[in-house]
Amino acid sequence: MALLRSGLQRVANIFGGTQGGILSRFVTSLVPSENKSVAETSKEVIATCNKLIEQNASRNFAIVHILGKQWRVTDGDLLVVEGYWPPNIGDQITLDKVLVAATKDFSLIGRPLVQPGLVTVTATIISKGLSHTRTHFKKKRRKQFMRINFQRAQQTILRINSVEIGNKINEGRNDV
Amino acid sequence: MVFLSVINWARCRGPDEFWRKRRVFRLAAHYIGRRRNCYSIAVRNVHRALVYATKARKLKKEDMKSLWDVRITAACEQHNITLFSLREGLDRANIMLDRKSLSDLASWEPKTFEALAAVAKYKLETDRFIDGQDKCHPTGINLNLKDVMLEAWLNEKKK
Repeated sequence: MALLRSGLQRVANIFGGTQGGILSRFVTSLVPSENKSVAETSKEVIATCNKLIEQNASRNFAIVHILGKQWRVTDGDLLVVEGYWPPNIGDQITLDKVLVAATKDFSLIGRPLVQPGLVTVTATIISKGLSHTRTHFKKKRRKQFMRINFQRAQQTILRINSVEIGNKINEGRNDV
Repeated sequence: MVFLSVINWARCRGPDEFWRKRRVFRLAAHYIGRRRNCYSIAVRNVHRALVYATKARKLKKEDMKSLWDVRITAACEQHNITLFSLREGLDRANIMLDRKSLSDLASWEPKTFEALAAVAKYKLETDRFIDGQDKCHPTGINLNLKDVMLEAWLNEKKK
């Protein structure tokens, strides 16, 4: 019963906050030592998460928002972003709009964004170019109507260098 | 009145016949039978194919949308929540994930999706939002997601 209540508390904490709050959730625990520290309060959950981050136990992934699309990215991913985008080849950029960041053991869910500074997703622009030619062909039967146009969209290829979660969940929690 | 240009444009049939036809034949190169070798048949099929290709770019987006919806629905059924209430709950909780990333989470990150489902459900309950869809689904009425979720957590902790 206590566990049930703690679970409720945990969820309840989520909704108390303002924009940019985070939700940390202890999803699974595979290391036996952590099994003992069963998360009874949200503080303990955060402590465990922070410990996990310090240990760097597993690879992180994040959902980032780029040019109107959401991408699930992890270390070493290659993204093709279509449309006009200012960064140039070789630029190192950080993708700030992180909606969700998670590891094997817990997930941070942003409302709508995870608070800035907590998760850093760095990427490098590899190449910029044009897509293949798309043929836009219209024809109306028996009406002598035919139009043909060709279009190419700008494409930017990105390499995700790292998805890192800063060891600061507790700090973030204070303002929630 | 002497028309100098317009009439002549109408008479001028563009490039040489050979090259005009060759453009079509190149697009028909991978067809089979007379569709590939006879111009009058090839040109019909090439035009049709180009129209399909143009229309399909839009259809592809719609198809992907419905595919994502199917995937999210399947994952939602696992957690006794409908697609509608999941999205409603997430919207109310200010979690702005789109179909693409939700289906991605549903298929590859089930634990994160589970958490999202619980959040949506809890948010709807705190808002006293009555979901008309749930009544249509007998599996979704009586099962309380919170308890299901917590039991799942309890089991995990016992491991």
